[in-house]
Amino acid sequence: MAAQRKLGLTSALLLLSACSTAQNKPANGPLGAHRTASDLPKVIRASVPFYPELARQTRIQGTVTLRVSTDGKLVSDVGAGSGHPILVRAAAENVKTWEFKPHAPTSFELTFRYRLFIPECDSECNCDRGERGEKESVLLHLPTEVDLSAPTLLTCDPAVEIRRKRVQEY
Amino acid sequence: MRPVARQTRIQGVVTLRVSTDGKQVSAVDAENGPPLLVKAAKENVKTWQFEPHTGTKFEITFHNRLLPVECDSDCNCDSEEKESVLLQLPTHAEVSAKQYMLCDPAVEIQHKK
Repeated sequence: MAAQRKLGLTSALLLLSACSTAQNKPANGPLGAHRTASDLPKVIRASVPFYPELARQTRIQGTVTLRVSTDGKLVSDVGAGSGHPILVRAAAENVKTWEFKPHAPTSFELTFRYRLFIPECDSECNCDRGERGEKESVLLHLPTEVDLSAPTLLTCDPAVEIRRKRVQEY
Repeated sequence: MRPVARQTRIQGVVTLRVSTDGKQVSAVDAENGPPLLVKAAKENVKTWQFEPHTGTKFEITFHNRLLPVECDSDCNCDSEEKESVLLQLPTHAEVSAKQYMLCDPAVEIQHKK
């Protein structure tokens, strides 16, 4: 199992575009209009969020909602709305690494979804980490949604796997 | 995605050959891709840190895609699809960003008429 994680990234910085707003928006937008993506602060730098190893080992998954407040550039406060404490802590730690394009201080709601999937194992208990089946992934829709998926920790017994293979062969 | 690439509507696939020293990236060579996007991908890869391992080499592809943007007659422009970053580390990354639009309300109103 350890060998499969040899290339696991422990941390990484993700540089996102520090770009100007995409569109020439008129100043006289309708009052009380539904909040669109362009009203939300633009993330220009963030660390990559990872599935917490402890949560993966203990098969904890689920959704975390956080209330994020910004000071116009950085995250000034993170309030936990809901979720498993281990996942809430991991999500809050990640959010604190985010930097925004300068904006008027604001607050918004953020959802982290943590999901585990079952990796495929062969009869020698070489369990897949992305070569054949589903890949471990992080999908960012910043600044409001983050989806993480990781393979669940399998206890694979070669004796059981060989027996299973034999049964299938008969 | 880099602002300049977005404004000049450059998109495409970047392939990099990454070497690690067992902890960090020691060298990055571009296999192919638009130069502006190669530069952005290289800069990003150099920030990566790894769980300790035996120094190795691998290939990574960055898919950079621009999302089509539609504007209404008031030049409220938006894309149907949300901007996103998908990471399947350490070999695959997909970045999608909204296309840069130049919208003139006068033209749009005339267009509407």
